[in-house]
Amino acid sequence: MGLPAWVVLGVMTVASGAPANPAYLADLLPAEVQGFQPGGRDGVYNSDTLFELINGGAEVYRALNVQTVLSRRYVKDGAPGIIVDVFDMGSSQDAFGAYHCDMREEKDAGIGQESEYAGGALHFWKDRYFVSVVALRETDDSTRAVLALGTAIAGAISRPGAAPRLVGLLPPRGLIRAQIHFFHDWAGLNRLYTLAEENLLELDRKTEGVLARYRPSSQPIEGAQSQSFVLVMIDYPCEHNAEQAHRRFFDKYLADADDQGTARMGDNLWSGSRRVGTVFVGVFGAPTRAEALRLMDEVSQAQRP
Amino acid sequence: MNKTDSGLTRRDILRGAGSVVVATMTGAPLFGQGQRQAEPNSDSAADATKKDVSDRKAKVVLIRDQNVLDAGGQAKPEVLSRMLDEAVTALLGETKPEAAWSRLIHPSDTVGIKSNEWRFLPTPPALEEAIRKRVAGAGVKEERIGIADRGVLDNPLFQQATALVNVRPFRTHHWSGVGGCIKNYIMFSPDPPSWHDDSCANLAGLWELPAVKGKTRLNILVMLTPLFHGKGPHHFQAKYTWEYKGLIVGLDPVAVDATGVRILDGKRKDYFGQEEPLTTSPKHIYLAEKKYGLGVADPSRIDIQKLGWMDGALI
Repeated sequence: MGLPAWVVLGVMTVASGAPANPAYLADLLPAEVQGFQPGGRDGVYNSDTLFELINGGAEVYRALNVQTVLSRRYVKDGAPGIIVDVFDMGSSQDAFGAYHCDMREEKDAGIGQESEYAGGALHFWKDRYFVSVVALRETDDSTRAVLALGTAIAGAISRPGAAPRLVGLLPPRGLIRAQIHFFHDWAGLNRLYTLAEENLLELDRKTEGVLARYRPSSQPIEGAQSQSFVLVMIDYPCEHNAEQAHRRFFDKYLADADDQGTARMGDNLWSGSRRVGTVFVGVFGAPTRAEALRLMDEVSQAQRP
Repeated sequence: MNKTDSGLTRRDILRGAGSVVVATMTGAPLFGQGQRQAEPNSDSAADATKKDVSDRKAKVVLIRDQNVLDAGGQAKPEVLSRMLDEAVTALLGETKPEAAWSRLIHPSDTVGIKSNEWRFLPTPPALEEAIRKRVAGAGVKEERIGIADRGVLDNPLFQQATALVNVRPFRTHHWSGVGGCIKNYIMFSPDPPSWHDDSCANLAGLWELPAVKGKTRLNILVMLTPLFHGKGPHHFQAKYTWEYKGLIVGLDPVAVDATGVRILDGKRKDYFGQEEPLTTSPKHIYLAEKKYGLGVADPSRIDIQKLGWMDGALI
């Protein structure tokens, strides 16, 4: 007796790498908004096929464990089209990361858990979903429709999700809130702030990292000036892994550090690192040693129970 | 292609750079302040293949015309054509564009014009046509001139090309930091995603592919309406373009891209009111010099000849 057709189809679909059933994503999208209706078939993509939708930009989301993406175009006579892409990132932490892979300097648009509207494009995250709603040309009509679409989609996502734990440890003083980013692996960190070609911090898909930029509270009287500097925190699965990674990084990158773990770099700016429990803490490009230490101390205090 | 780790760290680079802050590795401006004005160089397309470029200088021409765009933001063909002619003529140190192009292209060449068709900011057709005309004017028969982007590997003309003209608009890019002349050759790879490792650090290796190596006669970075900031999966909002109305032209793709990055950094500083690094640092440009010797990334060794309207040039 042969297998039922639906089983064969399911196996073939899984074997081809296509999402098993993207209907749950389509269910989040409204049938009509302000006269805009779906135009053409939805596109469905997974981590391997996302390049077909957004070329090299796919790597940003692949580095954050993107699962399935549904893309739909909304059309209305006489109006520019609107492209909606719903990314199932698999976790709320990765959805946060997908939203924060860009600078987010505009005022929150009040949709989802965090959102930004700029230049005809709305981006937001809620629970494990990152959503992009983009008008092909910005007009008053398209702006209203984009925001209405976003509101409808956010409303269809039943509950919020948690941001990455490390975000709660970010010291507030000097924090540039537009420049908070989340990553897992070395490629993800190197994209934001290149430390080395090697994976010195032993990052992989199990590690969770946050990089944030800070404004200096002062500048040195002499020497290099710094417009912003970087705090990197990485959470490892256990203290042993964190210690091993920190030791390797320290020996390769900060071997000349002082007893507080700081060192002056070739550009006369300061870097430093330490480990606090399962968390690696690194500061790079600080204008003064004091600034580097302050940030590491504040994270250490926040991390301790 | 060379993708092996050399173990290079940011500290190594900062030590080696001396007074020049090599900040491609950061998302800060490509290089720090205090660049010296380079002396005129004598580089040529042949020189561009040398590996050790630490002493090499490069020349680029930046040309702008306040009237190149019409009221709808489209390029005026006659103005764009004139800009191209003036820039190439100046680049080659000639007095007439015909003479300049005859030094770049031989009548027996088969010429591929590698363009860029990204839906949001494609190469203007008027510029493609202007290039095609000048290549034909250099004696190349029409049937041996082709223009393509994504289909180059399957395009018989590009498969047989003896010369390439590399042309594309400049923009920020989600994963590589910027999309410029170096990156424009990614479609010559049968597996473009394989070049994405470490946020496209090794893009310069594309220039060693057999389909490309040694063939590029000219690089044109279109700066008519560059994209200086991007968000989201499609990474384009018109709000983050501006009418710079320029072209950067050069024999050295690294120098061309490095110059583009400086302009982009200037625009971002102007827009945000302070220095605002690109979220993804375009380190492939720095590595194109340091690791591949493809060309010159250090602004202190790039001579920029400026032609035309320079209000708001940012550089």
